[in-house]
Amino acid sequence: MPEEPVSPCDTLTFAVSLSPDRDHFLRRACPSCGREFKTEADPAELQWALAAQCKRMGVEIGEQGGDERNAPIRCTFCGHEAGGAEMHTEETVDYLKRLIYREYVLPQINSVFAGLEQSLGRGSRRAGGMFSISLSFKHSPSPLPPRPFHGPEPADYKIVEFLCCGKKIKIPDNFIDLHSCAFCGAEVALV
Amino acid sequence: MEPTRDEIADSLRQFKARRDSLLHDDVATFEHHLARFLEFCDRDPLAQTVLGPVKGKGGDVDVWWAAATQHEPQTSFPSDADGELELQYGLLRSAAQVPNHVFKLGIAHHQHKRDGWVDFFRTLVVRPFAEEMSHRIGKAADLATPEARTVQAVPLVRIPSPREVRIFLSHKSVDKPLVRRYYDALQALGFDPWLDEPNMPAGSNLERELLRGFEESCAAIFYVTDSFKDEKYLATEIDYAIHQKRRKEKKFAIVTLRYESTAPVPGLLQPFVYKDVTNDLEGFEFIVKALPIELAPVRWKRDVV
Repeated sequence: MPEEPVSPCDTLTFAVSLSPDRDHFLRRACPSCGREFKTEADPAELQWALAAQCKRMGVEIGEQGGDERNAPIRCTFCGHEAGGAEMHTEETVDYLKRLIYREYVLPQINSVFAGLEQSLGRGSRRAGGMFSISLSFKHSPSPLPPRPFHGPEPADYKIVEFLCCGKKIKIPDNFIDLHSCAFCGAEVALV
Repeated sequence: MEPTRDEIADSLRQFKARRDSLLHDDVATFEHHLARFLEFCDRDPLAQTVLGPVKGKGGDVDVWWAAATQHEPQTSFPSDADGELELQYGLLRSAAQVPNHVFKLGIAHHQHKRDGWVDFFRTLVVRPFAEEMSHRIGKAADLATPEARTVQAVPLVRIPSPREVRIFLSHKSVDKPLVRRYYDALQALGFDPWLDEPNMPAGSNLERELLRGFEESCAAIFYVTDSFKDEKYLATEIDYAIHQKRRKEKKFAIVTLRYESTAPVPGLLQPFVYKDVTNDLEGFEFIVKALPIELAPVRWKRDVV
């Protein structure tokens, strides 16, 4: 069955800005071992990495059908493999939650309560007959909380260039125990 | 003393945590988070590199509060960024000392609940201050952080064994001085050339040592001069080279340098790359380009660090 076209009024536009470090790397966290590393920030891939996070809060972002861009990443410490969207740090997840709450969830709540106030107001005016019940509802819309920040991100860690697939990551300076590529899984040695 | 990279990363981590708590945590804990945020700004060296230079550039805090909380409130800020930052910092400090300021500001702007007046102060003063601080402290951190080192993660399939990367130098004995120059230059660069003289101990079996030399090599270089003849040991070396090429394919290179253009290149070598060279530098460049191996990334020598 063909999908219904999205009308402009169903579309919400808001700015999401994640801060990579000076070398354009974005901090990641392994959902299995919790340790942090960084991958190069590609705005095109980032949209889909963010989409999964937003979906958990009931918001679809971007154009649909781009799941293939959520390429898996292997944790350089424990080898756990997950989509890029699963490897956000707590800081990034908090930022996204706050942003979506501010830009989408809270306006929706305000809109629902404003509608309720209006409909109850109309209902009470129409009440009549022998018995009547008068209902009233007063809603004070919640003020929007401050827009959240992401970053600034320190330019820490050393860069590892994978000669197998040409991609790069950043890992802590003292970490030398790297055995496989974070992207293609090839066995590697640090030199 | 300059802060280390770890100290800078730790400063930024604390800054972000305290900033976000101040901006987003429950209104009931606002004063607590304001005090902790200011405590960080006052003692952190990185934050002080941002706040120190703007000291004294802001306006009078008391005048601002008076104007902002009067019947028809006015909330203007200096037009220059330094002055605005310093005034906002002063307002945060005075709000921490006199929480009533935030209440009066909210009332003056028709906010009659605690949530409302705290959020109003957050939007009007805290967030703009946090935004400018985030920008400046991020730049200060970048300036104080050295460039990232790059290391390479080499696929194991691209790391050869030391027993397969020698470079066999095939020549007529009379050309030894010429080949010795190549041997020294290749060795100085970090390659591992094979030359009969240093690599064949006295009394060793010549045929077997030659074969071992080829088996451990990834390239054979033939120096064709007028003296070079496709016979005896030189013929054997050509045969060995062809055999290794068939066995190792792309991982073995046969390179022929012809020093005199009149010297004939042996028929078996003609299908492979060869070059007429007029000097050693030209020949050396040709060899390095033709080799199936490359040297590691640039690094400081051991004795200079």
